[in-house]
Amino acid sequence: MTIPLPWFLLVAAALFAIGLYGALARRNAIAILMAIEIMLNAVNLNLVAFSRYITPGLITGQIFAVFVIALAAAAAAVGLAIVIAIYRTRQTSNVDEINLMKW
Amino acid sequence: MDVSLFVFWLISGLTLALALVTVTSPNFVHSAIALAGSLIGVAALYVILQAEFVAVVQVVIYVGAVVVLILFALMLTERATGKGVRVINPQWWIAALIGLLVLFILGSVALQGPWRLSHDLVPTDTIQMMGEAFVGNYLLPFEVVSVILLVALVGAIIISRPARQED
Repeated sequence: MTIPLPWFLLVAAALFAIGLYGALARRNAIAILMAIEIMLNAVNLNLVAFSRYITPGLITGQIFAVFVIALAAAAAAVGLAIVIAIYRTRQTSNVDEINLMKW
Repeated sequence: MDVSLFVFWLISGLTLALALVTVTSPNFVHSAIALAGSLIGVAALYVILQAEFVAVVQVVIYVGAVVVLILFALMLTERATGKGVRVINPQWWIAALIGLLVLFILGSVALQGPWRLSHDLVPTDTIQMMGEAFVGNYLLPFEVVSVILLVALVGAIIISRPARQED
């Protein structure tokens, strides 16, 4: 493989940092969920890259990545359902306006 | 100059640029489409890593289902976003600092190594190996993920049902 492993790790680190910025800086709940999906993709990229370069015979990283994809889809579905339910009652999807727990 | 290096940098650059568009665009539909593009870029990186099955699963589930779900939720929670609606926190610069710090830490660990690289042959029948693993070594996580997906499905339906008039 002509592409060295650290380059894949750098791309994954950059993706993770971008997703982290999005999760911390955005106001809309759905935009935060999109940033979380970016972070999970960065983790998956790391897993598959390590599996390819360190133990290519066992595809453990790829199996792990498929599980992470399935769990991320489930989390996104439930998260979006919650956002829709909150929007129905509060008419807002900005997380700094959803502060119902403190009157 | 190796063509594969150039292709790798092109795909990585596109993926990172689209991810930046996702987290900075004030239009949420633009963000969702950019997210779809970024996820397809990650799938292309999986193909470069010779993990074709994961790439197909990524496109089908992430781009084909999760991004579509996000677009549904965006359309259902649409507000009249006027010109003055902020899409970013006032503390965005702290978030950028933290992001750069995390990038620096992860990048320095990644570049330092030394990684015990192996030069074994990459298997070409990953689908068979994965199938055997899912019903063999990884049977328990497989069943647990099935239960989790069922719970998520039922939970999402119940949470997003409209409130009933009589109860």
